Amino acid sequence: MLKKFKKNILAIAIIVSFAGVLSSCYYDYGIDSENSNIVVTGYDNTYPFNTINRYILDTTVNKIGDQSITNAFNSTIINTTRANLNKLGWTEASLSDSLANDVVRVSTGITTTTYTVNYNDYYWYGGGYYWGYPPYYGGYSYSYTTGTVIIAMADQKNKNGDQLPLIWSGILNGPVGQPNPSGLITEGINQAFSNAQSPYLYQ
Amino acid sequence: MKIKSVLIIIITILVSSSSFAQQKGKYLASIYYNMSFPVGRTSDFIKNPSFAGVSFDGKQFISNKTAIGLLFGWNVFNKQNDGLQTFPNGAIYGSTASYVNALPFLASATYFPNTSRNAKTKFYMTGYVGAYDILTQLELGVSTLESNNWHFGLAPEVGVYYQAGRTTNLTLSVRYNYAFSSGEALNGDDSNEQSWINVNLGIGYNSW
Repeated sequence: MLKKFKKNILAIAIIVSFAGVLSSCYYDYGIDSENSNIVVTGYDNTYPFNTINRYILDTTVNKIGDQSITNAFNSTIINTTRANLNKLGWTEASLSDSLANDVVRVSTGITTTTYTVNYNDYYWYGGGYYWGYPPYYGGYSYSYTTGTVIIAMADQKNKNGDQLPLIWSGILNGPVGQPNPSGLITEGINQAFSNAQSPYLYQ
Repeated sequence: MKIKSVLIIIITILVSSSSFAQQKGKYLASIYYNMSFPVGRTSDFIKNPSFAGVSFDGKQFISNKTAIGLLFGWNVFNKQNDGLQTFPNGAIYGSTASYVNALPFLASATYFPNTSRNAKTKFYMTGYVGAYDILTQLELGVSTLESNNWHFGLAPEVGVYYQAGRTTNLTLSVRYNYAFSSGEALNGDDSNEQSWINVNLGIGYNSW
Protein backbone atom coordinates (compact mmCIF):
# COMPACT_ATOMS: atom_id res chain seq x y z
CA MET A 1 0.00 0.00 0.00
CA LEU A 2 2.78 2.38 1.04
CA LYS A 3 4.81 1.31 -1.99
CA LYS A 4 1.88 2.07 -4.27
CA PHE A 5 1.40 5.44 -2.58
CA LYS A 6 5.09 6.27 -3.07
CA LYS A 7 4.83 5.28 -6.72
CA ASN A 8 1.82 7.56 -7.18
CA ILE A 9 3.62 10.45 -5.47
CA LEU A 10 6.58 9.94 -7.79
CA ALA A 11 4.31 9.90 -10.84
CA ILE A 12 2.56 13.08 -9.67
CA ALA A 13 5.90 14.78 -9.00
CA ILE A 14 7.12 13.92 -12.49
CA ILE A 15 3.89 15.15 -14.10
CA VAL A 16 3.91 18.40 -12.09
CA SER A 17 7.56 19.11 -12.89
CA PHE A 18 6.96 18.55 -16.60
CA ALA A 19 3.83 20.67 -16.46
CA GLY A 20 6.14 23.38 -15.11
CA VAL A 21 8.50 22.89 -18.03
CA LEU A 22 5.62 23.04 -20.48
CA SER A 23 4.07 26.16 -18.97
CA SER A 24 7.45 27.89 -19.04
CA CYS A 25 7.46 27.26 -22.77
CA TYR A 26 4.76 29.89 -23.13
CA TYR A 27 7.11 32.79 -22.69
CA ASP A 28 5.73 36.20 -23.53
CA TYR A 29 7.92 39.27 -23.54
CA GLY A 30 4.87 41.48 -23.25
CA ILE A 31 5.68 44.08 -25.85
CA ASP A 32 2.99 46.67 -25.23
CA SER A 33 2.25 50.33 -25.78
CA GLU A 34 5.27 51.31 -23.64
CA ASN A 35 7.87 49.84 -25.98
CA SER A 36 6.09 49.24 -29.24
CA ASN A 37 7.34 52.04 -31.50
CA ILE A 38 9.29 50.47 -34.31
CA VAL A 39 11.06 51.60 -37.46
CA VAL A 40 11.36 49.02 -40.23
CA THR A 41 13.38 49.61 -43.38
CA GLY A 42 13.71 47.42 -46.44
CA TYR A 43 15.61 47.87 -49.68
CA ASP A 44 16.43 46.32 -53.03
CA ASN A 45 20.02 45.24 -52.48
CA THR A 46 20.68 45.07 -56.22
CA TYR A 47 19.92 48.77 -56.77
CA PRO A 48 22.97 51.08 -57.22
CA PHE A 49 22.16 53.63 -54.50
CA ASN A 50 25.54 55.29 -55.04
CA THR A 51 24.34 56.63 -58.42
CA ILE A 52 21.53 58.73 -56.90
CA ASN A 53 22.08 62.50 -56.89
CA ARG A 54 18.58 63.91 -57.08
CA TYR A 55 15.13 63.19 -55.74
CA ILE A 56 11.56 64.19 -56.41
CA LEU A 57 9.45 64.47 -53.25
CA ASP A 58 5.68 64.28 -53.54
CA THR A 59 4.37 66.92 -51.17
CA THR A 60 1.04 65.20 -50.52
CA VAL A 61 0.92 62.64 -47.74
CA ASN A 62 -1.20 59.78 -49.07
CA LYS A 63 -3.94 58.63 -46.74
CA ILE A 64 -4.21 54.89 -47.00
CA GLY A 65 -7.65 53.52 -46.13
CA ASP A 66 -9.38 55.88 -43.70
CA GLN A 67 -9.55 59.31 -45.37
CA SER A 68 -10.48 61.06 -42.12
CA ILE A 69 -6.97 60.71 -40.67
CA THR A 70 -5.71 64.03 -39.35
CA ASN A 71 -3.56 66.29 -41.52
CA ALA A 72 -1.78 67.57 -38.40
CA PHE A 73 1.39 65.59 -39.08
CA ASN A 74 1.69 66.17 -42.84
CA SER A 75 4.18 69.02 -42.62
CA THR A 76 6.29 67.11 -40.07
CA ILE A 77 6.39 64.07 -42.36
CA ILE A 78 7.26 66.04 -45.51
CA ASN A 79 9.76 68.42 -43.90
CA THR A 80 11.62 65.72 -41.98
CA THR A 81 11.79 63.48 -45.05
CA ARG A 82 13.13 66.37 -47.15
CA ALA A 83 15.74 67.27 -44.52
CA ASN A 84 17.00 63.68 -44.46
CA LEU A 85 17.18 63.43 -48.26
CA ASN A 86 19.18 66.67 -48.36
CA LYS A 87 21.46 65.32 -45.64
CA LEU A 88 22.32 62.45 -47.98
CA GLY A 89 23.76 65.07 -50.35
CA TRP A 90 20.94 64.69 -52.86
CA THR A 91 19.25 67.75 -54.39
CA GLU A 92 15.55 68.18 -54.95
CA ALA A 93 14.25 68.06 -58.52
CA SER A 94 10.76 68.30 -59.91
CA LEU A 95 8.81 66.13 -62.34
CA SER A 96 9.14 68.85 -64.99
CA ASP A 97 12.94 68.62 -64.96
CA SER A 98 14.63 66.46 -67.56
CA LEU A 99 15.13 63.20 -65.71
CA ALA A 100 18.27 61.10 -65.80
CA ASN A 101 19.18 57.84 -64.12
CA ASP A 102 20.20 59.58 -60.94
CA VAL A 103 16.67 60.56 -59.88
CA VAL A 104 14.45 58.78 -57.38
CA ARG A 105 10.84 59.52 -56.50
CA VAL A 106 9.95 59.71 -52.82
CA SER A 107 6.39 59.59 -51.55
CA THR A 108 4.86 59.30 -48.11
CA GLY A 109 1.72 57.80 -46.64
CA ILE A 110 -0.13 57.50 -43.36
CA THR A 111 -2.61 54.93 -42.13
CA THR A 112 -4.15 53.57 -38.94
CA THR A 113 -5.15 50.09 -37.89
CA THR A 114 -7.45 49.13 -35.02
CA TYR A 115 -6.99 45.84 -33.20
CA THR A 116 -9.52 44.30 -30.85
CA VAL A 117 -8.44 41.94 -28.10
CA ASN A 118 -11.27 39.85 -26.74
CA TYR A 119 -10.49 38.15 -23.46
CA ASN A 120 -13.69 36.11 -23.68
CA ASP A 121 -11.75 33.96 -26.14
CA TYR A 122 -9.37 32.90 -23.42
CA TYR A 123 -11.86 32.31 -20.62
CA TRP A 124 -14.42 30.21 -22.44
CA TYR A 125 -13.51 26.72 -23.37
CA GLY A 126 -15.72 24.09 -24.91
CA GLY A 127 -18.91 25.80 -23.87
CA GLY A 128 -18.05 25.94 -20.17
CA TYR A 129 -15.66 27.81 -17.97
CA TYR A 130 -12.12 26.67 -18.39
CA TRP A 131 -10.53 25.24 -15.29
CA GLY A 132 -8.57 27.82 -13.35
CA TYR A 133 -10.62 30.87 -14.26
CA PRO A 134 -13.43 31.48 -11.81
CA PRO A 135 -16.80 32.43 -13.30
CA TYR A 136 -16.83 35.92 -11.75
CA TYR A 137 -13.88 36.80 -13.96
CA GLY A 138 -16.27 37.06 -16.86
CA GLY A 139 -14.72 38.43 -19.99
CA TYR A 140 -13.73 41.78 -21.35
CA SER A 141 -12.29 43.24 -24.47
CA TYR A 142 -10.34 46.30 -25.43
CA SER A 143 -9.15 47.80 -28.64
CA TYR A 144 -6.19 49.90 -29.61
CA THR A 145 -5.20 51.77 -32.72
CA THR A 146 -1.77 52.04 -34.22
CA GLY A 147 -0.57 54.69 -36.59
CA THR A 148 1.78 53.94 -39.46
CA VAL A 149 3.85 56.35 -41.52
CA ILE A 150 5.33 55.01 -44.74
CA ILE A 151 8.10 56.55 -46.83
CA ALA A 152 8.60 54.92 -50.20
CA MET A 153 11.49 55.51 -52.58
CA ALA A 154 11.04 54.38 -56.17
CA ASP A 155 13.05 54.23 -59.36
CA GLN A 156 11.53 57.09 -61.38
CA LYS A 157 13.49 56.40 -64.53
CA ASN A 158 12.54 52.75 -64.92
CA LYS A 159 8.84 53.11 -64.41
CA ASN A 160 6.56 50.51 -65.90
CA GLY A 161 3.43 52.37 -67.00
CA ASP A 162 2.09 53.95 -63.81
CA GLN A 163 4.11 51.65 -61.60
CA LEU A 164 7.48 52.57 -60.21
CA PRO A 165 9.83 49.86 -58.93
CA LEU A 166 10.22 50.24 -55.16
CA ILE A 167 13.88 50.45 -54.10
CA TRP A 168 13.63 51.52 -50.44
CA SER A 169 10.92 51.85 -47.82
CA GLY A 170 10.80 53.10 -44.28
CA ILE A 171 7.85 52.21 -42.06
CA LEU A 172 7.16 53.74 -38.65
CA ASN A 173 4.56 52.10 -36.44
CA GLY A 174 3.32 52.84 -32.95
CA PRO A 175 0.16 53.14 -30.89
CA VAL A 176 -2.00 56.23 -31.38
CA GLY A 177 -2.41 58.39 -28.29
CA GLN A 178 1.20 58.67 -27.13
CA PRO A 179 2.44 62.09 -26.01
CA ASN A 180 4.26 64.24 -28.59
CA PRO A 181 3.39 62.31 -31.76
CA SER A 182 5.16 64.89 -33.99
CA GLY A 183 8.39 64.32 -32.06
CA LEU A 184 8.01 60.54 -32.39
CA ILE A 185 7.42 60.85 -36.16
CA THR A 186 10.50 63.09 -36.55
CA GLU A 187 12.63 60.68 -34.50
CA GLY A 188 11.34 57.72 -36.48
CA ILE A 189 12.04 59.25 -39.89
CA ASN A 190 15.53 60.31 -38.76
CA GLN A 191 16.15 56.76 -37.56
CA ALA A 192 14.98 55.24 -40.88
CA PHE A 193 17.42 57.42 -42.84
CA SER A 194 20.26 57.09 -40.32
CA ASN A 195 23.65 55.77 -41.31
CA ALA A 196 23.21 53.00 -38.73
CA GLN A 197 19.95 51.69 -40.18
CA SER A 198 20.38 52.49 -43.90
CA PRO A 199 24.16 52.78 -44.53
CA TYR A 200 23.84 51.95 -48.28
CA LEU A 201 22.05 55.32 -48.82
CA TYR A 202 25.28 57.07 -47.82
CA GLN A 203 27.54 55.30 -50.32
CA MET B 1 42.41 -31.95 -17.77
CA LYS B 2 41.00 -31.53 -21.25
CA ILE B 3 37.49 -32.32 -20.04
CA LYS B 4 37.85 -29.73 -17.29
CA SER B 5 38.84 -27.07 -19.82
CA VAL B 6 35.93 -27.91 -22.07
CA LEU B 7 33.54 -27.74 -19.10
CA ILE B 8 34.89 -24.32 -18.11
CA ILE B 9 34.40 -23.05 -21.66
CA ILE B 10 30.83 -24.41 -21.81
CA ILE B 11 29.95 -22.90 -18.43
CA THR B 12 31.46 -19.56 -19.45
CA ILE B 13 29.41 -19.55 -22.65
CA LEU B 14 26.23 -20.44 -20.77
CA VAL B 15 26.76 -17.75 -18.14
CA SER B 16 27.59 -15.09 -20.67
CA SER B 17 24.67 -16.00 -22.89
CA SER B 18 22.33 -15.74 -19.93
CA SER B 19 23.66 -12.24 -19.20
CA PHE B 20 23.12 -11.39 -22.90
CA ALA B 21 19.56 -12.58 -22.63
CA GLN B 22 17.08 -12.03 -25.38
CA GLN B 23 16.28 -8.32 -25.78
CA LYS B 24 14.06 -8.85 -28.79
CA GLY B 25 10.49 -7.73 -28.04
CA LYS B 26 11.50 -5.82 -24.90
CA TYR B 27 10.77 -2.13 -24.78
CA LEU B 28 11.86 1.20 -23.26
CA ALA B 29 9.69 4.25 -22.60
CA SER B 30 11.25 7.53 -21.48
CA ILE B 31 10.46 11.14 -20.77
CA TYR B 32 13.19 13.75 -21.26
CA TYR B 33 14.02 17.27 -20.23
CA ASN B 34 15.65 18.97 -23.24
CA MET B 35 18.14 21.81 -23.28
CA SER B 36 18.57 23.20 -26.77
CA PHE B 37 21.42 25.11 -28.37
CA PRO B 38 20.55 26.76 -31.69
CA VAL B 39 23.03 26.47 -34.56
CA GLY B 40 23.06 27.63 -38.18
CA ARG B 41 20.12 29.74 -39.35
CA THR B 42 18.16 29.10 -36.16
CA SER B 43 21.06 30.72 -34.31
CA ASP B 44 20.96 33.67 -36.74
CA PHE B 45 17.32 34.19 -35.70
CA ILE B 46 17.70 33.42 -31.97
CA LYS B 47 21.11 33.04 -30.39
CA ASN B 48 19.91 32.21 -26.88
CA PRO B 49 20.05 28.61 -25.70
CA SER B 50 16.71 27.22 -24.58
CA PHE B 51 16.00 25.51 -21.30
CA ALA B 52 12.34 24.89 -22.10
CA GLY B 53 11.89 21.56 -23.77
CA VAL B 54 10.42 18.15 -23.26
CA SER B 55 10.25 14.93 -25.26
CA PHE B 56 8.85 11.44 -24.95
CA ASP B 57 9.99 8.33 -26.72
CA GLY B 58 9.36 4.65 -26.87
CA LYS B 59 11.67 1.98 -28.28
CA GLN B 60 11.12 -1.69 -28.93
CA PHE B 61 13.93 -4.15 -29.61
CA ILE B 62 13.65 -5.94 -32.95
CA SER B 63 16.86 -7.87 -32.33
CA ASN B 64 19.18 -8.20 -29.38
CA LYS B 65 21.02 -4.99 -30.15
CA THR B 66 18.65 -2.99 -32.32
CA ALA B 67 15.49 -1.14 -31.36
CA ILE B 68 13.04 0.93 -33.34
CA GLY B 69 10.81 3.60 -31.90
CA LEU B 70 8.96 6.87 -32.00
CA LEU B 71 9.72 10.28 -30.48
CA PHE B 72 7.56 13.32 -29.88
CA GLY B 73 8.90 16.54 -28.42
CA TRP B 74 8.54 20.26 -27.94
CA ASN B 75 11.41 22.76 -27.92
CA VAL B 76 10.97 26.51 -27.55
CA PHE B 77 13.50 29.23 -28.30
CA ASN B 78 12.87 32.87 -27.49
CA LYS B 79 14.69 36.16 -27.41
CA GLN B 80 13.84 39.81 -26.99
CA ASN B 81 15.81 42.37 -28.95
CA ASP B 82 16.07 46.09 -28.39
CA GLY B 83 17.75 48.62 -30.62
CA LEU B 84 18.81 47.92 -34.18
CA GLN B 85 18.74 44.54 -35.91
CA THR B 86 19.88 44.17 -39.49
CA PHE B 87 18.71 41.59 -42.03
CA PRO B 88 19.76 40.77 -45.60
CA ASN B 89 17.23 43.23 -47.09
CA GLY B 90 16.63 45.70 -44.33
CA ALA B 91 16.66 46.54 -40.64
CA ILE B 92 14.36 46.97 -37.66
CA TYR B 93 14.79 49.49 -34.88
CA GLY B 94 12.79 49.03 -31.69
CA SER B 95 11.66 46.25 -29.40
CA THR B 96 11.09 42.94 -31.08
CA ALA B 97 10.65 39.44 -29.78
CA SER B 98 11.54 36.27 -31.66
CA TYR B 99 10.13 32.83 -30.94
CA VAL B 100 10.67 29.37 -32.40
CA ASN B 101 8.37 26.54 -31.36
CA ALA B 102 9.55 23.20 -32.75
CA LEU B 103 7.57 19.97 -32.48
CA PRO B 104 9.49 16.92 -33.70
CA PHE B 105 7.59 13.76 -34.70
CA LEU B 106 10.33 11.24 -35.43
CA ALA B 107 10.84 7.56 -36.06
CA SER B 108 14.04 6.05 -34.72
CA ALA B 109 16.45 3.16 -35.09
CA THR B 110 18.84 2.57 -32.19
CA TYR B 111 21.89 0.38 -31.94
CA PHE B 112 23.19 -0.79 -28.56
CA PRO B 113 26.72 -2.21 -28.84
CA ASN B 114 26.31 -3.90 -25.46
CA THR B 115 22.95 -5.02 -24.10
CA SER B 116 24.33 -7.19 -21.33
CA ARG B 117 22.04 -7.07 -18.32
CA ASN B 118 25.09 -6.96 -16.09
CA ALA B 119 26.12 -3.65 -17.60
CA LYS B 120 24.87 -0.72 -15.51
CA THR B 121 25.54 1.66 -18.38
CA LYS B 122 24.53 1.03 -21.97
CA PHE B 123 25.78 3.31 -24.72
CA TYR B 124 23.69 3.71 -27.84
CA MET B 125 23.51 5.46 -31.17
CA THR B 126 20.19 6.50 -32.70
CA GLY B 127 19.22 7.79 -36.10
CA TYR B 128 15.93 9.69 -36.28
CA VAL B 129 13.95 10.60 -39.37
CA GLY B 130 10.60 12.33 -39.58
CA ALA B 131 8.78 15.61 -39.51
CA TYR B 132 9.24 18.82 -37.55
CA ASP B 133 6.37 21.27 -37.17
CA ILE B 134 8.20 24.57 -36.67
CA LEU B 135 6.48 27.87 -35.89
CA THR B 136 8.68 30.96 -36.09
CA GLN B 137 7.28 34.25 -34.85
CA LEU B 138 8.60 37.79 -34.88
CA GLU B 139 6.80 40.39 -32.77
CA LEU B 140 7.34 43.86 -34.17
CA GLY B 141 5.86 46.30 -31.74
CA VAL B 142 2.23 45.31 -31.61
CA SER B 143 2.29 43.30 -34.83
CA THR B 144 3.33 39.67 -35.17
CA LEU B 145 4.75 37.95 -38.24
CA GLU B 146 4.44 34.17 -38.31
CA SER B 147 5.63 31.30 -40.43
CA ASN B 148 4.43 27.81 -39.55
CA ASN B 149 5.75 24.93 -41.64
CA TRP B 150 6.23 21.18 -41.68
CA HIS B 151 9.87 20.28 -42.34
CA PHE B 152 11.41 16.95 -43.24
CA GLY B 153 14.19 16.30 -40.77
CA LEU B 154 17.01 14.08 -39.61
CA ALA B 155 18.59 13.75 -36.19
CA PRO B 156 21.56 11.63 -35.13
CA GLU B 157 21.93 11.00 -31.39
CA VAL B 158 24.43 9.40 -29.06
CA GLY B 159 23.61 8.62 -25.48
CA VAL B 160 23.95 6.40 -22.51
CA TYR B 161 21.38 4.59 -20.37
CA TYR B 162 22.13 4.05 -16.72
CA GLN B 163 20.24 1.24 -15.06
CA ALA B 164 19.05 2.94 -11.86
CA GLY B 165 16.61 0.25 -10.72
CA ARG B 166 15.34 -3.06 -11.98
CA THR B 167 12.96 -1.43 -14.45
CA THR B 168 14.06 2.20 -14.13
CA ASN B 169 16.78 3.88 -16.12
CA LEU B 170 18.25 7.33 -16.49
CA THR B 171 19.44 8.70 -19.79
CA LEU B 172 21.90 11.34 -20.93
CA SER B 173 22.03 12.03 -24.64
CA VAL B 174 23.02 14.58 -27.25
CA ARG B 175 21.00 14.96 -30.43
CA TYR B 176 21.64 17.12 -33.47
CA ASN B 177 18.37 18.17 -35.13
CA TYR B 178 18.34 19.25 -38.75
CA ALA B 179 15.05 20.33 -40.33
CA PHE B 180 15.31 20.91 -44.08
CA SER B 181 14.10 24.21 -45.50
CA SER B 182 10.34 24.59 -45.82
CA GLY B 183 8.20 27.70 -46.27
CA GLU B 184 9.44 31.25 -45.90
CA ALA B 185 12.03 32.54 -43.45
CA LEU B 186 10.77 35.52 -41.43
CA ASN B 187 14.10 37.35 -41.59
CA GLY B 188 14.24 37.30 -45.40
CA ASP B 189 16.79 34.49 -45.69
CA ASP B 190 16.48 32.43 -48.86
CA SER B 191 16.37 29.22 -46.80
CA ASN B 192 14.19 28.34 -43.84
CA GLU B 193 16.20 25.37 -42.60
CA GLN B 194 16.38 25.04 -38.83
CA SER B 195 18.91 23.23 -36.67
CA TRP B 196 19.79 22.88 -33.03
CA ILE B 197 21.53 20.57 -30.62
CA ASN B 198 19.58 19.00 -27.76
CA VAL B 199 21.16 17.85 -24.53
CA ASN B 200 18.63 15.50 -22.93
CA LEU B 201 18.17 14.15 -19.43
CA GLY B 202 15.66 11.36 -19.23
CA ILE B 203 13.99 8.93 -16.92
CA GLY B 204 12.51 5.77 -18.30
CA TYR B 205 10.93 2.39 -17.80
CA ASN B 206 12.40 -0.76 -19.31
CA SER B 207 10.51 -4.03 -19.63
CA TRP B 208 13.36 -6.36 -18.68
